[in-house]
Amino acid sequence: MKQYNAIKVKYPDAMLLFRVGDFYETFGEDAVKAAQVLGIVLTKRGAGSESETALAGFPHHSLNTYLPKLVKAGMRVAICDQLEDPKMTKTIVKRGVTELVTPGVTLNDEVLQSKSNNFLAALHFGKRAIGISFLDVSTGEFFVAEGNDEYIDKLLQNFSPSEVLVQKQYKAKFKELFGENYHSFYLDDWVFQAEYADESLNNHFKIKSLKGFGIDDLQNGIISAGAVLFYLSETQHKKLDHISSIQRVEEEHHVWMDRFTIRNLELYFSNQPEAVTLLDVIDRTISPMGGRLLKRWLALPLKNLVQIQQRHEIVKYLIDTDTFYNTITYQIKQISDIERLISKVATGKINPREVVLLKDSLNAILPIKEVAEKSTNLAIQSVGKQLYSCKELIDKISNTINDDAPVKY
Amino acid sequence: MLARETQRTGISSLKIAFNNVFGYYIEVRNTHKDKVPEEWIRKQTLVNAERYITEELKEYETKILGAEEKIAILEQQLFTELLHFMLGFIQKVQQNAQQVAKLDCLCSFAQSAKDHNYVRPQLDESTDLEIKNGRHPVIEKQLPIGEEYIANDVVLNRNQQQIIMITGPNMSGKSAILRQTALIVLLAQMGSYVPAQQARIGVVDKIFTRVGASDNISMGESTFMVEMNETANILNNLSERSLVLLDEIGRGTSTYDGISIAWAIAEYLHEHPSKAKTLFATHYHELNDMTETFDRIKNFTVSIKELKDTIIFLRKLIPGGSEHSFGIHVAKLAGMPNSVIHRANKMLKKLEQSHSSDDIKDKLKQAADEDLQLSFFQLDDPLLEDIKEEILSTNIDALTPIEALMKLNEIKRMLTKK
Repeated sequence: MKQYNAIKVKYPDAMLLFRVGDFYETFGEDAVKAAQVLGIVLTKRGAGSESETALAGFPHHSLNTYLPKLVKAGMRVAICDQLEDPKMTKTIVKRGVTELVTPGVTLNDEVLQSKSNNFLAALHFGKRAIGISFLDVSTGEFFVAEGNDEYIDKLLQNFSPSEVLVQKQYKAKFKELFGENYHSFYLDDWVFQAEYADESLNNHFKIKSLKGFGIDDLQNGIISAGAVLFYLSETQHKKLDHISSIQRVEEEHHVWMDRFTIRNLELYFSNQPEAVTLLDVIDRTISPMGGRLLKRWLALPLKNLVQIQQRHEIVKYLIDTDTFYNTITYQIKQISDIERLISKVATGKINPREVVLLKDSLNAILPIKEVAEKSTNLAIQSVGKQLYSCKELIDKISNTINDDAPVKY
Repeated sequence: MLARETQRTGISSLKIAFNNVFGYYIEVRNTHKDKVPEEWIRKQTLVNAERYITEELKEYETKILGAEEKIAILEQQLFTELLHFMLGFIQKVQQNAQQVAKLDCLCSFAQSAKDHNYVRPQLDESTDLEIKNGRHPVIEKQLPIGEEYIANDVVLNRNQQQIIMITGPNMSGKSAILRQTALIVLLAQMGSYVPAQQARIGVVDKIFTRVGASDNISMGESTFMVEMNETANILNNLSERSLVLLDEIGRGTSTYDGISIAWAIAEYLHEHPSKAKTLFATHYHELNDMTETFDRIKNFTVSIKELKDTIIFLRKLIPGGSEHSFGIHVAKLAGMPNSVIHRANKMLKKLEQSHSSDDIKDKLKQAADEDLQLSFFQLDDPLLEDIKEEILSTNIDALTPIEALMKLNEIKRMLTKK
């Protein structure tokens, strides 16, 4: 119990799942909340004595069913595991928090929706502009931008993050400007410092300067990106190789639509639950990656004439060339969510069956590459050239793992 | 080993098996019980068999189990190694994912273009917007089978037809026309085909839409305040390539306030150097008079057919203005009790007599062409004199839109005081 209290003090605002033998237990107020959310039995420990506390728990193997419910209820959940084998020690087993799952930082398939991104956002209120960054840990996409409050408001609306990180002292300002609807979390002021952010970004991407990503002038944006990285390390996410680049969301590149317009036009979100949105009508994407990208295209239409016409050109080609279209869609159907699978590789959370899925998907890309490169359309040719065959990887996987590999090893 | 022992003991039904309780064992049927050698250790007796273990068997057991453990460790090792190897491919796979996503989206465009009968829009660097037989992508899918969506043409440009003033009764489809225009532009600039027969679009950089009196009571702001806030936001951010859609702006306040504000906003949009393309839906038919003073404002109406007491919505956008709001007809369609409708009709006639719309029109004209009206002013009472002073002393170039509205409101208050 002493150990529990010691750990709980470090995570006062999170629900602590404390591994005891084969069970994850929650105590005190956490237990009351957990029992409510999960519908599990609330009991007492040390009944009648002075140290009586509420207790609720579930078996460790049901973590995957209970965890999503807690996260969806908007809770931050700290998972505390036994760090050594109970057989090896005679005293109390060492325990420590191995993962902190929050709405914005989760890799759990049950929590994630395949056709939407799950963004974590961070905001930095600078002197002249507000910096903002968005990260989807499950796909490794990382965006940064900077602008006035209207622009930030629009971006928040576009990306609809599951969690927003804000500096403590701007709590009131954030609520005033952007409303109460965001699930926000407040970080200490020292996290939002330019030197700290620069350093942590450079360390993360193993680079000397952010010029390579073309974001070095977005000072406030960089600070917010630093806060995102800080939050990840705080939540015990350390293997982040899949976050390999950071992109800038250019205000000048996209059609400006403010939040009223997005709402009025019912693009992908409507106030009435049963209403049909534009996205519902035009979304014919097959893969989860496509679904997510379409949503982003809808939120950020282009202004550049050449780019727009290039897209039209490809669409025309796809409509006119049935055989090509059929091959592509047939192959895309066999591709799993490789974006999220590869992120699981980076975080070490992938299981053998998923590795096989990844291999099959990579295999399915080969024919696409082939037909695209042969296509008479230049734009499609370049897509084909940008696809990697990943032959070595496919071979290595098929040599190592059997096709009917188990989920657990 | 099984064969050897079978031979040695002469037990034909000898079996070697495994269970979780005591590992590998030898099972002997009761019929051969007497042939079991001395050194076997009996572990378990069943109804018709006995189970034994031997030293040798246990040795094998440790070997097998040990091997399984080793296999598990090896497998784990191989898997970890594989994962490590895969780390090197992260960026390539991510790239692939992006390209696949892109192809998927474009295929999706192609598919919906085929499914919904969309066409390729022509985009260019002009500031024109010409949509021929445009449809609302969502509404056209919601219609009951057999009913056809009435497509409409919309033409906007900065030189001749900058502002389209759409009047027409409630429920006639004004809002749908506004929204479909925005959606067509949006779809086009996403790279998709569009629901129209033909479309030529000069690239748009900002789309603004405002719907009058959008409810926001939960936030504690008055609807009218929200509406004015939102509108002010537009007027401050206009650009040459903006597309502005205003739906029933000014609805949230009294009729005169509403008409005045709508008028002032339309005038501002017309006079603003950006000459932003605007669709303006309203049921204040008084605004139709604006076209006389402002040459780039054009009147359109959504056609209806009047039959004795009821009306039929044709939903076709045609040039020209409309005379009535038909609000009462809509009320009737919505199933209001007859007595209410009857009374409403009577009230309307009364109001129209006492406050004939000519009156309002005159007043609006006063505000617009003050030069023409100067002599008229001088004849009138001192209050109008004050208003004249007020207007003359206003430096229009230095006014922000909000200030313009405030001024208008001020003038209005002076008038109502009398």
